[in-house]
Amino acid sequence: MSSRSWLKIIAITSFLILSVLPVAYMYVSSFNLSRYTWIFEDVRQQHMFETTMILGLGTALLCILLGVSIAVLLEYTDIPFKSCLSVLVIVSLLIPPYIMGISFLSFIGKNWVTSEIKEPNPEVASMVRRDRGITNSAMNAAALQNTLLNKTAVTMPPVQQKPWYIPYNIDPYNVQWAIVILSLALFPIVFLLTSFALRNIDERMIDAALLLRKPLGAIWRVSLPMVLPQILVGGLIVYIFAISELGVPSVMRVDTTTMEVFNHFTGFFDISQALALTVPLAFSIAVLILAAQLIIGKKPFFTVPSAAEGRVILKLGKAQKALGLGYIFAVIAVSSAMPLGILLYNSGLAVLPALEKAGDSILNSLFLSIFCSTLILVPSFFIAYFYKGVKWMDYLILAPLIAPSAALGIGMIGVWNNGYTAFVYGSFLVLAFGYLARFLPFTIKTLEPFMAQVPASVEESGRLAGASFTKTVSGILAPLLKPGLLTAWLIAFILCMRELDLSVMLTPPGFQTLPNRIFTLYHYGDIRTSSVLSLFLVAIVVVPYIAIVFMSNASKWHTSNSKK
Amino acid sequence: MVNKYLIGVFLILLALSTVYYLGNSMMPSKNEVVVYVSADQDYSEPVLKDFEKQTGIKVKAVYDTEASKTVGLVNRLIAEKDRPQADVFWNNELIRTILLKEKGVLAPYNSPGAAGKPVEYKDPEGYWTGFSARTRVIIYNTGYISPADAPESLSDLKNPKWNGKVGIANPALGTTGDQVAALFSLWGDDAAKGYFNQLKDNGVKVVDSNGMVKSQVAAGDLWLGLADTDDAYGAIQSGKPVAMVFPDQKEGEIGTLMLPHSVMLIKGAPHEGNGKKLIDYLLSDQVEQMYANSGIKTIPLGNGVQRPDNVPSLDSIKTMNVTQYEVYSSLNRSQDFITRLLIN
Repeated sequence: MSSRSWLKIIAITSFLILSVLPVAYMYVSSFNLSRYTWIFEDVRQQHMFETTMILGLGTALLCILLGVSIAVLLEYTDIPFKSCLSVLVIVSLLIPPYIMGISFLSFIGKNWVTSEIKEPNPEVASMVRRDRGITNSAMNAAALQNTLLNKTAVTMPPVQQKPWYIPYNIDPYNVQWAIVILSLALFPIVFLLTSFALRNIDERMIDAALLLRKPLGAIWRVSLPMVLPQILVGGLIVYIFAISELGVPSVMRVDTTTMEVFNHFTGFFDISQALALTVPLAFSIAVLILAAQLIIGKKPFFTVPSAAEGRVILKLGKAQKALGLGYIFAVIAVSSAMPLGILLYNSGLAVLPALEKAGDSILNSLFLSIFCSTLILVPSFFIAYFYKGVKWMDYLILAPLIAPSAALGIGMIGVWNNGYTAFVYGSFLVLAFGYLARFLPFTIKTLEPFMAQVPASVEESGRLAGASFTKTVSGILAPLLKPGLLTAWLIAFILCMRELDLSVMLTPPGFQTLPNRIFTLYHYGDIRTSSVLSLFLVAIVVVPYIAIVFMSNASKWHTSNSKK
Repeated sequence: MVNKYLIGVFLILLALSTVYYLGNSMMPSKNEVVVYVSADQDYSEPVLKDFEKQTGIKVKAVYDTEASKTVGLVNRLIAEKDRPQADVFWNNELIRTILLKEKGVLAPYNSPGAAGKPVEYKDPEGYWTGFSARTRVIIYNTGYISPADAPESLSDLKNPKWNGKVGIANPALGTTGDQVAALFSLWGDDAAKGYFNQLKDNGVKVVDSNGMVKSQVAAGDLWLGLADTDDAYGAIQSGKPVAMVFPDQKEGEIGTLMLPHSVMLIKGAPHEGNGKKLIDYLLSDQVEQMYANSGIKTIPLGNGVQRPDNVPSLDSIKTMNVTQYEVYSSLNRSQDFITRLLIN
């Protein structure tokens, strides 16, 4: 058997063992038919499913709108500050959506995070329970507590007023606002995929399009259809994240199927019912994959021998530049600046105490994420390569995503906690494998469209010239796929850095991840430390992204000098 | 070229650091104990560090997070039952502890520290022992509600004057779920269902967690709600305009629900001896005193444990006349009902 065949077998086997097996273990070991039939008989479940669909589709569409428009502006126009804006645009992806939701509520005046009240109020300080004639000592003790604290610290009766910059009172507790919040958090996924894909389009195709059409027409009729697969993959990933999200719907008081899954899992300890509830969600993902396949249909993918990276297609006038900049700045302001500003305000810049409390967690997450996001590229690359265009693989690849993270965690325990793999389960490796299981589908789906852009002829030429399969991969494919590999690495790194639910189930004793620490601190009211750590989380992910943008720009400069 | 060289060196160093750091974390310690902790890390971690200092036993802890409603570790313990990794579980409540006992996850251990604890807060067979209790309270915003108007009983929450202003955490989960189950046990299913139907008619708002109830009451988005004492103390200490009431303390009223922490030995614990030492330590007067003096101001369950003046004693609080096992037995019924009623 050739090395190529061996690699193909190893790639699919590793995917099946790492990603599919734990999920299959969960569904098979807890299968109960009555749990499935119940879902279809219960009107309440149907209502929540509808809400979840609205949330998922609405978020995906809004993300596509935001992500694609900003990618086109930054990749194809001569708008100023491109590199800087490219970095700023993705920052919101690094802020947990839950924190984004809370920041938004603070911003519109539901300020239950930032409402530190400084002025003491003697009237309130005297509000103790002893004047109620209740004599038990517990009451008096509680009253004493209130009195002492009120005298030394607080308080002013809050008067709930909308901030001056909000023209009218907003009721944020509905699915529409949940869509907005999730879109602001997730649109960078579509932006990243579209942006890197636009850079990868063959420059000759653009030249040909510009001969026939005006710049805007060339972008609309030629460039965007060429990167449609990446756009749809981005939308699909966003959809999966949106329907899996628990934090934002909870904060915005929107009841979704995901919340019901969570209730059955953590409240009722009814894993069988929780998993059965995920099946309609899985079905919706399958329908979207099918729809994407139909839309993409037989459209040819285009090639990258002379990528159009850095090419300005559309020159903007002054007013257009101002309008474009205004649009991007507005999106950055609400998606990144607002939550970051609130985090900064809440942090009090208390960096050292935060490092003392959670320095270990920062290093744990950083090194673990570097390890996982690098390791994940190997199976992702080969699965995307060997199963290019194999339609049934689309469904198999996304299958692991149907189970909630915590359920996947239990599946991982079932698979890895045995005498033979004790070294895996007792160490960080189980967490690393958990991340691989969870995020492989995303990195494979990210690489697939980039892989499809590489023409078969390039590989065939290499082979005719006598290059081995290893040489073809390392010398031809990998360099051509650099943008795709960087995007996949970055997405994996971001996902690993912010992962929370799986970590609780799999983290080895004595090893705590940063998101886990942040949420624990946040819940118990240490807003200051959790804000500092959230800023660390953002900074840690921004640094490699800046490095990638920097390297990309350096390569652009190098290419343009070579052409001269 | 120089840039490429530097980048290459940097990447190699990064890879080596990663391997070294993660590899180092795999090194086992000879004298260690593994504890799963669902109690607040800020307060539990210093206690565990103190144990390390006193005994020289390395403590390896896994902390739960509010994102999993502090039951992620319960699910993990059940999943690990056949090959346990933990020696001790330190839970921040009791009802899921009973679930673990029912699932066969626990081993009995009669710690000397359990001797001083009241019988209603320890397992007769020694599977678990309670200590350092929180209680359920009504928390209200002092800017909107004067003490004279503040509700004194859970029944007051049905009053139309609080229409749309009362908040509770997800009633299927956590200590709110315990409280709902306790009312089902105490009042019977029909009366409890009637009560919650009336709460719904009065526009009760379901929010994410007790912490969220506290925050939204503090900000005035809600005026009052149900939470735990640690939430209320936290808000008061950070200067929020809130006060708390221990509900139903008058003659003829039902009292409030106590929420002790609980500690237990895991069946098949890999470091059983060290696990028992840790349990003994956690049940000591010293730990109860540390917790009573901490920010969450728990009520000591041990006899004669010193506590600050602003922490009520156990006997000064009227508690619900219902056992933890009765609450546990009502849990599934109450969860099913309340989820259908309030989450849709």
